[in-house]
Amino acid sequence: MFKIKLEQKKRVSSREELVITLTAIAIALVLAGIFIAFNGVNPFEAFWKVVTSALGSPYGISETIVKSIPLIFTGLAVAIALNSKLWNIGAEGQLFFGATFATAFIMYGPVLPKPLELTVIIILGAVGGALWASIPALLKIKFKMNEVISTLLLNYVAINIADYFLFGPWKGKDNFPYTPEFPEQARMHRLGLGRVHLGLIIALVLVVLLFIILYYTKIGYKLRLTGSSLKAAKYAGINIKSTMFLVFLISGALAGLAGVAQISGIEYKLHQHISSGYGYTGIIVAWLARSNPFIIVIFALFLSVLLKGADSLQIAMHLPAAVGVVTQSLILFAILGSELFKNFNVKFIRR
Amino acid sequence: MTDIITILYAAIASGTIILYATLGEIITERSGILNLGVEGIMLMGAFFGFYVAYTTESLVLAILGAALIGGLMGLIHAFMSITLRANQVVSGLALTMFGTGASAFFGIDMVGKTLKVSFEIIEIPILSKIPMLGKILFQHNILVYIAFILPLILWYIFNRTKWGLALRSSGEEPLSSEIMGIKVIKVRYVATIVGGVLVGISGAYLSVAYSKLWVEGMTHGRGWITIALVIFANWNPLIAYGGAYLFGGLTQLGLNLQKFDIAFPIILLKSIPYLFTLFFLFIISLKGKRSNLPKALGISYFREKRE
Repeated sequence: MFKIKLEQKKRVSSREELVITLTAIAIALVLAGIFIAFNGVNPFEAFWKVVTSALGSPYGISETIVKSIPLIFTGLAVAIALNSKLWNIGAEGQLFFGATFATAFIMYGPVLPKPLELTVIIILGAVGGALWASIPALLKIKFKMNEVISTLLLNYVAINIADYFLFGPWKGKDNFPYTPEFPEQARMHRLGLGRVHLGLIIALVLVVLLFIILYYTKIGYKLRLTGSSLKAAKYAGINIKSTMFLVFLISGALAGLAGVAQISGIEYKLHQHISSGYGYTGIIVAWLARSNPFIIVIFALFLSVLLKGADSLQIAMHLPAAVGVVTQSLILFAILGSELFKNFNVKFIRR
Repeated sequence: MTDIITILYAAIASGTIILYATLGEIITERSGILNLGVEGIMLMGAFFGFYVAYTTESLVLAILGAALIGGLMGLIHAFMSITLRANQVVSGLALTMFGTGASAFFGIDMVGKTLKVSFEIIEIPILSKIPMLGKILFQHNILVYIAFILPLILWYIFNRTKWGLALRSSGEEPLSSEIMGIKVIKVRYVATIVGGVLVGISGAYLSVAYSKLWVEGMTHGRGWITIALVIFANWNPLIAYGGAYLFGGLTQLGLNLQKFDIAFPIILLKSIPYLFTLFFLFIISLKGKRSNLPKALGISYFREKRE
C-alpha cells in the first residue's frame, strides 16, 4: 500500500497547468487506444485515421467545423450556467425542444422572405430552449429541486415530445419519422466551405458577446458573483432568484440555438438524430474550458475532431460508433483527475 | 380485476430493477459520496450480465459478473472522488458517459441475441395461494425475493451494527469520525464499491431476468430516477421499498391507461416515468428539508486539513 501526501501549492503557473492538462489528455488517449485494441484494430492506425479524416482534407476540416457549431452553442449553454454554479445537464432536451419549436413555425407558419423567416425560426428556437429550461429553473427556485436531476429527466421528456410529432402529425410521406424537407427560405446560408453554415457566425458572435457581458457589464458581474459566493451576492444586494432564473433562460436559449443550427443549417428537416449527444458533449466542453467563452471554441473544435474521427473509424475500421463517447468520457476523467495535481504537490509515500 | 392484479404484479417486477439500484445508491450516499454514475453502472451491469448469461449459460455467473463490473465502476468513482478529490458531480457524469459508451461498444454483438437460460418463477408454498396477494407478491423469481429481504438487512446494518454507525458518521462528520478512530477513506471506498455492486445487479436483473434481451441504452434513465428515489426515500432503505414499488406501480398504471379507455397518445406515455419522478421530488420538496441527508454528501474530504 502507499499513502498520498498533499501539500497545497501557492501558485500554479499557466505553463505548468498546460503541461498537466496535456499529460492528462495523453493518458486518456492511451486508455482509449487500449479500448480500440480490444476490437482488434491497431490503435496507432486508428488515431492516424482520426487525425487525417478530420484535418487532412478541406472536406474533413469543413465537416469538423460543422460538428463544432452545435458544440459551441451547447458548450456556451452549460458554461453560462456553470459560471453561476448551476448545472444544466439538460442542453440535449433544450436542443430538441428548440428545434421542435422552430420546426412548428416552418410547418404551420406563413412563408416569409428568407432573412425574415430565418430570423423568426432562430428566435423561436432560442425561445423554445429557454422555455424548456424555465421548468427546472422554476423547480429549483420555488421548490429547491436539484437541477442536475430535473434537467436530465426533462431531456427524455423533450425527446419524447419531438418523437410524438415525428411519429404523428409531422410524419413523412413514406411513414418514416421525419418531417418534409424545409423550403429554401428556412435553410441557413452556406459560407463557401463544405456544409459550414451561418450558424458558425452566430455562434462566434455569441462567444464574443457573452465574453463582453460576463466580464465587462453589470449583469455579468452579478452572474459571476452569484457563482463565486451566494453570501457575497446577497450582501451586494443581488436578487439571487431572479439572477438564477435569467441564467437558466440564457442557457436554455443557447442550447435551443444548437437545435436550430442543426435543422436549418445541416439537416433541413427535423428527425430523431439531429444531435449526436451534443448536449452532453457540451458539458465536457464547458468543463474543460473553465467556462471561458473563447476557450470553449478551442475545445469544441478539439472534440469535433474526435467526433468526426469516430465517424470515420466506424466506416473505415468497423469500430462501434460508441468509441467516440468512450474517448470523451476518458478525457473528462483524466482532466478531472489532473485537477488535484494543479492545486497540490502530490507525494506518494510507501508504507 | 385481473387487469389490476396484472398491473400490480408488473409493478413489483419492474420496481425491483429500481429497488436494487436505489439501495446501492443509499449505501454510497450514506458514506458521503454522491455517485451520479448510476445510469452508466446499470448499463454496464445489464450488458455484462447478459453477455455472461449468453456465453456461459449460467445465471449465477451472470449475476456475479454484473456485480463485479458494478463494483469496478464504483471503484473508479471512489478513486476519482476520494483519492483524487475530484468534483463528484463531474466524475459521476463521466462515469455515466463511460458506462453508456463502453456498454454500447462491447455490447454491439449481443444486440438481438436471445438467452437459453432464464430465471424460473418460484411459487412460494402456501403464501402464493393467498387470493390476489399470492399472485402479486409470491410468484416471482429469486431476485425479486432477495430484493424483498435486502432493505431489512440494510436497515439492520445501518442502525444496529458498528459498520452502520461508521458508515453513517463518515457521511455526516468525516473529521470527527476520523478522530473517533473510524477509517473514513476506507469506509467510503467500501460503500462506493458495494453501492456499485448493487447497481450492477440491478442492471443484470433488467437485462437477464426482466426484459431478457440487451439493447443499447436500455435503462432509459432509470439510473437518474434512482438518484431521485434516494432523496424520496430519505436515505432510508425501508422507505426505498415504498418508493421503488410505488414508482413501478404508477409507471405500469400509466403504460396501461389505454386498457381503461382513457384516450392519450401512446407515444407520450413513455414520458410518464420521468414526470412521476419529478412529481415525487416536488412532493417531498413541499415537506422541507430531508432529515437524513448526509451532511458531508458530495464534499471532498481532505484528511490533511485536520491539522
